[in-house]
Amino acid sequence: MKELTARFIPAVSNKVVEIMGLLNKFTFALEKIGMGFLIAGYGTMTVVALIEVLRRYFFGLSFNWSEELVRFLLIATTFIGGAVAYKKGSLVLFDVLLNRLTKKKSLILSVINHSIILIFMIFLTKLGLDYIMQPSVMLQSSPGLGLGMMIPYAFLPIGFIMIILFCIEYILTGIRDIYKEGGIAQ
Amino acid sequence: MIFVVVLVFAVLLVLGLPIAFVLGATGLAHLLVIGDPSYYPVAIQRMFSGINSFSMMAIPFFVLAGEIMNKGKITDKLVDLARECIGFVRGGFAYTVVLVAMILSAILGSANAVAAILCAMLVPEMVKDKYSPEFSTSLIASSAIIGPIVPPSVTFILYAVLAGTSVNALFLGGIIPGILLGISFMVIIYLKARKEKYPKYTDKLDIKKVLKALVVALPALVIPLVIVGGILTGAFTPTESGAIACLIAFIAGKYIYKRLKWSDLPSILGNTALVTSAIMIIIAMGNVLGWTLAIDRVPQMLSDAILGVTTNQAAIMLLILLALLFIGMFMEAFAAMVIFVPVFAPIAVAAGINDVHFGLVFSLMISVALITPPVGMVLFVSSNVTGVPLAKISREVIPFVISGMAVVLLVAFMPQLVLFLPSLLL
Repeated sequence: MKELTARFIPAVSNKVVEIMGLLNKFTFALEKIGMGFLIAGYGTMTVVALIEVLRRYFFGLSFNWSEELVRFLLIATTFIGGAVAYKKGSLVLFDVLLNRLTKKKSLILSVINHSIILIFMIFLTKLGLDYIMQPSVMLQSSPGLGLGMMIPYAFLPIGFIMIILFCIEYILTGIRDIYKEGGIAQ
Repeated sequence: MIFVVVLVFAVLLVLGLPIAFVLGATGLAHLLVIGDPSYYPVAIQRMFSGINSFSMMAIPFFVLAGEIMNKGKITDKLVDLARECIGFVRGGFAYTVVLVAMILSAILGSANAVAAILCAMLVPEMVKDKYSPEFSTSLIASSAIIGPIVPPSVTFILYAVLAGTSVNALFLGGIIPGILLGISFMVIIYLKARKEKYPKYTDKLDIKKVLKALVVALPALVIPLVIVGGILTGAFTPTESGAIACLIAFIAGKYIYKRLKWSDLPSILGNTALVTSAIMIIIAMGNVLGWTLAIDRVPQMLSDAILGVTTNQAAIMLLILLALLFIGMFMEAFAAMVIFVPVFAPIAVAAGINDVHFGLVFSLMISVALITPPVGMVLFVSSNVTGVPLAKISREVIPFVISGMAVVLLVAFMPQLVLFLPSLLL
C-alpha cells in the first residue's frame, strides 16, 4: 500500500504540474490577446470619436453609425478589460483583512475569495448565454450599424469566461502555494 | 430581506473581493432571495444598459487625456508654473501642491488619477524639502479630491447619467466649490506652516520667471480651456471635448514638449483601458444591485422614512449628508453613486432642492468621503504609491477632512455658490 501511494503521488503531482503549466501558458496568451483587443478597441474609439467631432464641427456632417460603434466598443472593452484587470490584480478591493493575516492564512483566504468569484462567474456566464440565445435578442439588430444585438451582448459572457479561466489558475496556484507553505494542517 | 443583502455585501467586502464583484454578487444573491426566475435575464441587461450611454463615453477620453499628459511630462510644467507663482511664501511647496492639484483637476477627471500622479512625483521632493512623508501624502490625497469637483469630472458625468441632470450645468457649478476646496486646504497649510516652520520653496516672487513658466506651461493650460470653453459655448459635448483634449495633449506632448513617441501609444491606450474598465465594471455590476434594491422598493422605503421624519429642506439635506458620509466611509465612490444617486436624488427633488445644487453637494460629500478614514479610497491609493502606512496618513489627514466638510456644509446651505455660474452662462 505504501509503495503504491509512493508511486502514485509523484505521478499525480507530475500530472498536476503538467496541467498547470498548460493552463499558465493558456491564460498568459489569453491575457495578451485581451490586452491587444483593448489597445485596438481604445485606438479605434479615439480615432472614430475624433473624426466624428471634426466632421461635425467643420462640415456639419455625421455618420449615424459612429456613435453606436464607440458605445459598443466601450461595452466590449469594459468586460474584456475587467477580466484582464482581474488577472493583473488591478481591480479595486479592500485588502485590510488580507494584509493583516499571516502569509499562509491570507493565501487560504484568497483561495476562498477566488472560489466565490468562480461560482459567481459561472452563474453569470449561464445567465449571459441564456440571455443572448433568446430569440428577441438574436433577431434584433442595432439601429446604427445594423449589427445583431447578440454581438455586443456576447462580450459579457466572453469576459466572464475569461475571468473563470483566470480564477481557476488563481485557485490552483493558491492551493499549490499553501502546500509549499507547509500544508493546511500546520 | 434587506438584512441578507447587507450581510452578503459586508462579508464579501471584508473578505477582500474586488468591489465590482462584491456589488454583482450581492445583486445576484438578492435576486435569489427575491426568488423570481423571470428577473434573471434582466440582470444581464442591467449590466449592459449601465454603461450603454453616450455620456459615459466621455470617461475613457478623460482618462486617456490624463495618461497622455503624464507620459508626455506635461505635469512637470504645471509644477514649475505653480512653484513660481506661490513658492515664495512659508510652506511654499505645500501651496504649490494644492495649486497643481487644482490645475491638474481641470485636466483629469478623477481623484485617484490626481493622487497617483502627484504622490509618485511630489512626495519624494517634499520629503527632501523637510516635510514629513505623512503630511505630504495626506496633503496630496486631500488635494486630489478637487479632481472630481473641478470640471471635467468623471463623477459629474456618472451623476448626470444616473439622475438625468445636465452635465454642462454640473461642470460649471463645480468650478466655485472646487476653488473653495483649494482655498480651505491652503488655510490648513497656513496654520501648519507657522507651527512647523516649513521652508520657502523659492526666494521671492519673480514676475519674469512666472511669465517664463507660464509660456512653457501654456500648451498644457490650453487643454482645460478647450474642455470648459467648448462645453460652455455649446461647441462640444463632454464626450467630444474629451476626445479633443486627447488630441491636444498628444500634439503638445509629441510636437511641443517632444517627450512622446508613437511607440508610447499602445502602452498608453492599454493603461487607459485597464483604468477605465475597472471603473466601468463597477458601474455595470453596481447597476444590478441598484436595480434589485429598487425591485424591493428600498429607495421608496428610505424616502418615506426620511420624508416621514421631516419635510424641512435643511433637515433633509443634513440627513442625506450624514447618510452619505457613513456610506462613503465604507464604499467606493462610484459604487456608492450607482446605488444611492437613484435613492437620494428623487428625495431631494421632492423636498424642493435644485437638482444641479444637489448633484454638486452629493459629489462633494462623496469626494470628501474618499479621504475620510477608516476606508477612504484615495487614502489607499496614496498609501500604496508612497508606502506610508495607512494609520499614519489617517491621523494627518483629519484637519483636511474637517475643512473639506466645512466646504460641503457651506455649499449645501448656500446654493448660489453652485448655481451662480450655470445661471450666468447657460
